[in-house]
Amino acid sequence: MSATTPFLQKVSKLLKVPISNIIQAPGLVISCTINGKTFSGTLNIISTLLTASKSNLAGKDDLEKLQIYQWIEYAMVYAVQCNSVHNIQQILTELNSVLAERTFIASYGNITIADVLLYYILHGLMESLVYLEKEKFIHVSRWFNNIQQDSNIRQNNKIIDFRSNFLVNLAPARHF
Amino acid sequence: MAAGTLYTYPDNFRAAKALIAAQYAKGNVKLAPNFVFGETNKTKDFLKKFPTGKVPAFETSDGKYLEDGNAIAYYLANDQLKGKSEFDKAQILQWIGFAEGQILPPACAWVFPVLGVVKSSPISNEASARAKDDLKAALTVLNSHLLTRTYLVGERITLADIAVACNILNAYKFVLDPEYRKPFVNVNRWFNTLVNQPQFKAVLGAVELCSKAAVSGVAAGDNKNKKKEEKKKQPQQQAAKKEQPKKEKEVEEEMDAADAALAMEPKSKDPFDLLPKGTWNVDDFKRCYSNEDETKSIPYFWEKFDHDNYSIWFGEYKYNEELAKVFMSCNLITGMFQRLDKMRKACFASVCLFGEDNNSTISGIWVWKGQDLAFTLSPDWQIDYETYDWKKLDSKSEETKKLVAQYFSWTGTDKQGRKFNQGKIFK
Repeated sequence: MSATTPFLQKVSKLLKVPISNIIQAPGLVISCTINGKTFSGTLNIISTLLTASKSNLAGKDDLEKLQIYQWIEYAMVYAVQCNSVHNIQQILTELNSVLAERTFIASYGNITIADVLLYYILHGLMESLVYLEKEKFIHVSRWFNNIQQDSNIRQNNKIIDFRSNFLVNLAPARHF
Repeated sequence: MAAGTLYTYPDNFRAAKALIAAQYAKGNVKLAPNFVFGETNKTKDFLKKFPTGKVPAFETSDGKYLEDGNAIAYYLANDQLKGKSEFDKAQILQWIGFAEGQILPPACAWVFPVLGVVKSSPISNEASARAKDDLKAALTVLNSHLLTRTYLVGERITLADIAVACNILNAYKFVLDPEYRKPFVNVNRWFNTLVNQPQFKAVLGAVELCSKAAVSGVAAGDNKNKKKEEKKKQPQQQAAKKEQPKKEKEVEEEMDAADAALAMEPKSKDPFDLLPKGTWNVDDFKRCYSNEDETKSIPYFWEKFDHDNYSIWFGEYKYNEELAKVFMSCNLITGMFQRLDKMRKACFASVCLFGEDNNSTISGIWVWKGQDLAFTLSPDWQIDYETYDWKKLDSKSEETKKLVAQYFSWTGTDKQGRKFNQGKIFK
């Protein structure tokens, strides 16, 4: 498994619950220490962090919680691994069709930890997109731009520019 | 933190704006207990505070009075809702205007007959048929705006979202079926997101989107029942609701008076609709006039003209001596045309300028639906017409035929012999 460590650190910082001793090695399930206890497995670690922080990112009912789990898994299995051109296109296409119909990935009303985690994971990828690609995945772009407005979530990530005024001639009516 | 008392009947979408804003700002808003629509707001005491007698109306805890849902919502809102920058604030105002001008009239014209708030009649049926198209146009605008945005203004919920969502709420609940709303993916997403916000839910309860469009007439009764059931299901948030569930029906009927006028608004959009349709197709003639030579289009005009339902008028500018430059006079004519925009549907005119700079006259031939002066049909059309002398022509006389031919073909002179200079066509 490639590096999920930095993303978990960001989540821990956002939720103000310190984690330490993150151990991640090939063939081993990721593990870490929270409040003196050892936890293993990404999903487990994230839910422990959420519980400890009493954050409102946890989802407000069972359905939302399950959707969050589903998207965290998706993020871990597909998004983190995403490195080839083919992968990238596929993930963005999938997310784009989901986000066409909803503002947040796992909830109709509110931002959840699934949005935040995906934001952290996709940041590098979004940064590398050229404007035409941002236009192509317009719903992902809109979602990403909304999530990154919160400075607590953003932390030291750079704000990615989604304005494309100079593209007016290429894609009228779609510029920000 | 704003506090005070809100006067409204239950489930009033206008009052919902204020209540949602108060949810965000955690303002302390009480609903006036024992408010009975049509009674309380007709009392002397109420009218002294709120001269229009309309609801929602708001009395602040220190005894000041506010009317209008949007205004009250603004007063109760927090900084996030009001927008961060001056430009954001201006944009919010823009969207509130859009909500009131583009969304509400068609939404009401469509929904009110369905809910039985106004009686369903041929007129209301026609109005709601038109409303479907008008609303589609408004939703298209909204949809393309929301393609690249999560909320209407900035990246957070503002009063703009509250105003637009509340004005479209009943349409989404009762008439916008999945088929109709299918093209508006972005609006649907935005609307779903809003009504799922805890602050919206606290006021509106669970909002179920329409699954099958209700229609007026027989189905209206079913719909009322459905609405009631929904109300039962919803957590009863509003104190007033709890206190007077029995009066609900009454209140619904009482709504007539206040909202009927609003539901009728789109109807007044085309005042010609009240007149009989007639056999002459104005658009057909306009096409012919634009595409063919006058030698063809003028005979065509007389061939098709409906003498019973249309009339021909001669309009002469009253203040010809004040006319100076030709281009200014032309602007005067085209300006009037623009202000009469809505008349186009059932009107055709050729207005000509005769003479030259500082010595010119304006006159024209007008054809419109009905036998009376059309301008009196709508207050919107009364800006310019008094600067003209209007003479109704006998549509069957030879003299009229000559005049029509002269003005439609832009030839000849005015009464004093000034030569034709320029013509403008209203079509």
